[in-house]
Amino acid sequence: MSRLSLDHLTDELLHEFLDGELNVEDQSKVQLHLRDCQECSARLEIWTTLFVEIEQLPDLEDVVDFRSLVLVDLTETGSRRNWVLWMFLGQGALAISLIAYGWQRISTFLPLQQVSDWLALPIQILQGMIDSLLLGLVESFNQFLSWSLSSGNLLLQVPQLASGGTLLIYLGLLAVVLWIVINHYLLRINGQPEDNRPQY
Amino acid sequence: MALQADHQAFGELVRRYQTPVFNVCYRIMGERLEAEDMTQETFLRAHDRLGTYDADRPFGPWIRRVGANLCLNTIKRRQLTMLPLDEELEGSTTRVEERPEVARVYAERSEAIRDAILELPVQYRVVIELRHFFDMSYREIAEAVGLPLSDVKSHLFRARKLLAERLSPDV
Repeated sequence: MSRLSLDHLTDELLHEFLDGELNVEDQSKVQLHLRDCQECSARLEIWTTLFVEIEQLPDLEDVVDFRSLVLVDLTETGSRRNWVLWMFLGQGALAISLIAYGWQRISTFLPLQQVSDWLALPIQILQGMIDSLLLGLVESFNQFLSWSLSSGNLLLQVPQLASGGTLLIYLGLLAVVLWIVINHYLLRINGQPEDNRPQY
Repeated sequence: MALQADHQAFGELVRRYQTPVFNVCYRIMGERLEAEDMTQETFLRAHDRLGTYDADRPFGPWIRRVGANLCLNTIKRRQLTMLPLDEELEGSTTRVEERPEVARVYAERSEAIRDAILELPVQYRVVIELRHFFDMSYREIAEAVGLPLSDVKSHLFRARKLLAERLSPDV
């Protein structure tokens, strides 16, 4: 190592020595040199003192009381997070329902028999439940439309929802709009996601 | 109730570790108000990530590391690393030189060291913090800050030179 062949050790070498970054061989050479060289030993002493002073620097004690600040923040973010969680679960449930119901159409081309039994059964059950629910919803929705658009002697010709599938399309569109609006809102209040890896 | 108890327990951790975390943030950010913001954010992040904390290890180093990472990321986002070191140095010299060198009291000496560290350019403060306060090797620092090993060595060397010059002009 050329740095070790000089008359005196460089400060850089002394730093690496103090930091324990030299390999065993170079470390031995530096130690040998220091044993015979008062000038380098004196410089090593100065650096050692500085290193120790830095590392033993006492903490500033007059800090703000972060406890109350953090607790207030945690309470606020906690309630917001609950709301976000419920919205997320609601959207998820709606999406799963739509997919499951849509399976009925897909199964025309892809018979359910081709699907694993463990998957086909829950889908059929879910479809049955959604069919019943949709039938009820369609009837209620049609009654509501008839009632709300009738006034005095004028009875508007109300378009009737023919089937649960039509209502499903409306619900799907509503879900998409809700998803866009809610996620836009969530992005605004939470800020952009950031990279938390330790980087410079 | 469980949530409230959880918050109270975490509040106790905050009270216990707020001073070391603040000091890490202060030394890296170099500005008190910013350090306070970083400290608060550190504890909020830590609360979110308590699941990743290994309970067999001491909490202090972990929370200090969370704070340091947060500060490093903040610095990176601001792209302070793009500032040429020479320009920063021009604007941050000489205050220590005006400080009376006769100060021998330990508190005054500590204050002088702290001030000298805070006056370093941010790149130098970061490597000093990671080497001397987190006991990281050159290689670990290089990985943490995303710099070549040679840059880490030269940053550390220049930072210490500056500190030595400011604290002991005869060096």
